Amino acid sequence: MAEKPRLFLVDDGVHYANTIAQYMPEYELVQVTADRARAKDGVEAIDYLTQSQQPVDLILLDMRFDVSEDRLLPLPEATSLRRQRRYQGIAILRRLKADFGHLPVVVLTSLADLSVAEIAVELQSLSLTYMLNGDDLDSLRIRIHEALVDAERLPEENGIFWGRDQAFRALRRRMAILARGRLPIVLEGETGTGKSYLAEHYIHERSGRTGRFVTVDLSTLPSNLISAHLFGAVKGAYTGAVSDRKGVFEIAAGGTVFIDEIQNIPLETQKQLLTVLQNQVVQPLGSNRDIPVDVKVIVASNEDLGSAVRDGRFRSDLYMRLSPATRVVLPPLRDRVDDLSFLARRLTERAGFEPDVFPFRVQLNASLGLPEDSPVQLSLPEDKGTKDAGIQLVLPAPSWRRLQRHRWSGNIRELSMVLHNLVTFSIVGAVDALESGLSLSSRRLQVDSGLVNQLLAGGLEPALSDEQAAQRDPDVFAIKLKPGQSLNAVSVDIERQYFEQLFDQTNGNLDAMADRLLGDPARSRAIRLRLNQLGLSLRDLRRR
Amino acid sequence: MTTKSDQIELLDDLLHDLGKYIAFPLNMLPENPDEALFRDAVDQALNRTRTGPNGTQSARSIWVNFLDEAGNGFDDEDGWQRIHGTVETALSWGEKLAEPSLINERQQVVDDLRAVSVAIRQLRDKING
Repeated sequence: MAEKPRLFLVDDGVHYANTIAQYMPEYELVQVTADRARAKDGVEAIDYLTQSQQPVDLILLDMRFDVSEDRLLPLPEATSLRRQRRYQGIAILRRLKADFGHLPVVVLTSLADLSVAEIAVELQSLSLTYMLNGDDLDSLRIRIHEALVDAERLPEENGIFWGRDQAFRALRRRMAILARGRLPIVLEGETGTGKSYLAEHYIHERSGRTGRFVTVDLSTLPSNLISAHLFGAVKGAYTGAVSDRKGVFEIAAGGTVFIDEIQNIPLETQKQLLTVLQNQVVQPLGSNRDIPVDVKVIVASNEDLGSAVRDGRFRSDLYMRLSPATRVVLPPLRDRVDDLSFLARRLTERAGFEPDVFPFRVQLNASLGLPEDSPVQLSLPEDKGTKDAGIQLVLPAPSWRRLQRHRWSGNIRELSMVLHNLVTFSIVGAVDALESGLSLSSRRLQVDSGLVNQLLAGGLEPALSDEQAAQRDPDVFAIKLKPGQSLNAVSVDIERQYFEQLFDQTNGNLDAMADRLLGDPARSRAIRLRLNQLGLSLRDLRRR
Repeated sequence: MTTKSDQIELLDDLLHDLGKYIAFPLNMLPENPDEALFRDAVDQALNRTRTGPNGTQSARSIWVNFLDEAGNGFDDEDGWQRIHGTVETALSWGEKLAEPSLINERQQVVDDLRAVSVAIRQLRDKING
């Protein structure tokens, strides 16, 4: 980043430009033209960012643009010119995210000002997109600062693989804030999404608490012992209580209690837990002595606690006391599509350091003339060129597609185990070959596709269908190959299917189709012509 | 006759054009502005309220344009007179712009200018149900 972060302002008015120039000397506004430190509309903004070599650290984007119609980017859902202008920032944001997704964007409006709920949801979910909280100097300062800090953050931190997924990055910010507060935190997410790891290595570490982090996994405790485990017991309180025992609330004094699988807590224990949370004291079983409690409480569940409340399995008063407002839902791996390659690479590297792999890796490195500590790296079909260090596990394209389409019911834990196995089999196989007298000269080891299939066959759910896979990526379309009388007929049929699906995806907006295919929404005439050539009439397409 | 959605569209525009920008310069002031800075902010709020592709408009011209477009479409609405009142109160600070004591009334000026968007939003939300 430059000495002063460079802000690129997209705004049809002068107010924000003047404010930043006057009151925020710590930032530099990018000079777009000789007399203007702002792009006055989306067209100018995209042109500048495409052509200019000047660095930009952050984009500030107004929402409403009172500009002439020919300067508006298409916004299919806006039903009038007035609405096109009022929500023009959304059209610009979509283009920015498509073409310059690495740049953080602060949208100069608050969610409360957007009367269209679906739009608000979309904006919230876009990576590195921040909405203003209020029209004041401090809100603007805080948002700019937050966005710049977030953009600088590495995708990996203390063993936590945050990746680039927007939803997960937003959770990172949220958890860091919740960690410092006094309220309990509810973590929800499927098994293997990293709830306990995040509780200990992210939330607890940021809580500022000096006491211990203590975990209670309710799925592993007999239900009749849960109360004693949580709250402690005095000698003789129950059969087998041969001495006084401290509960986790006492053991974790000044620290954090993490209650995993909270949905398994018996109803009678729920009442006791509620009392502890309310009164901040704990009473061991068989005792009437109150012990003050000073712990951060984190609970985790692999199901929606709200539905457990509706089913009568979880007390609503306890649920409310656990503060559903601080509920954090960790996304399943199948929803972190953009992070799969990052995660696969990092988990492969990590597997190379596991104790069962480590000695074989060292042996293989030595025989290949590599430094002893060279890592194992995953080479994916999307990679360009060769990497400069370590043993490369080369994953064939069909295997990579299988990984991408796998449902990952066990989430990151399952991915980690699959990659651990791939690394183990590949490295040990290579070492076996060496020991049987073969000479290896390449550090590129081809991963066995059959092994990938075997490992994934143990998954709990079938892989995604072509259609489902296509739904996950707007640039991937499911095409059914049908034999034709000539190659030309086959290719026309493929193209027809493609255009039909693109038509549906853009809600029949020819400008948007032109934008996607030709990079220029004004060239919709070319699209119309092509549709005619393919024998696709607009009327029929709309009627389908 | 003005439909409910027309009314909301009009009020959304007013909220943005007048409600947001009449308070904007004062909202963006640092905590303890000097007199000249404060006076300039009030002047901007009232006389250079919106500056964009269509030039510079004052708060009064935005308001008058709105009244032209709205016609009598809001006459039956409770809350309409309140908007009138808050806008007129806010605009009246223009008469005191040259007074040396203006900064002494800073909080009142800020409150009056911010009240415009509050009044517009209340009516908008009421119509929207």
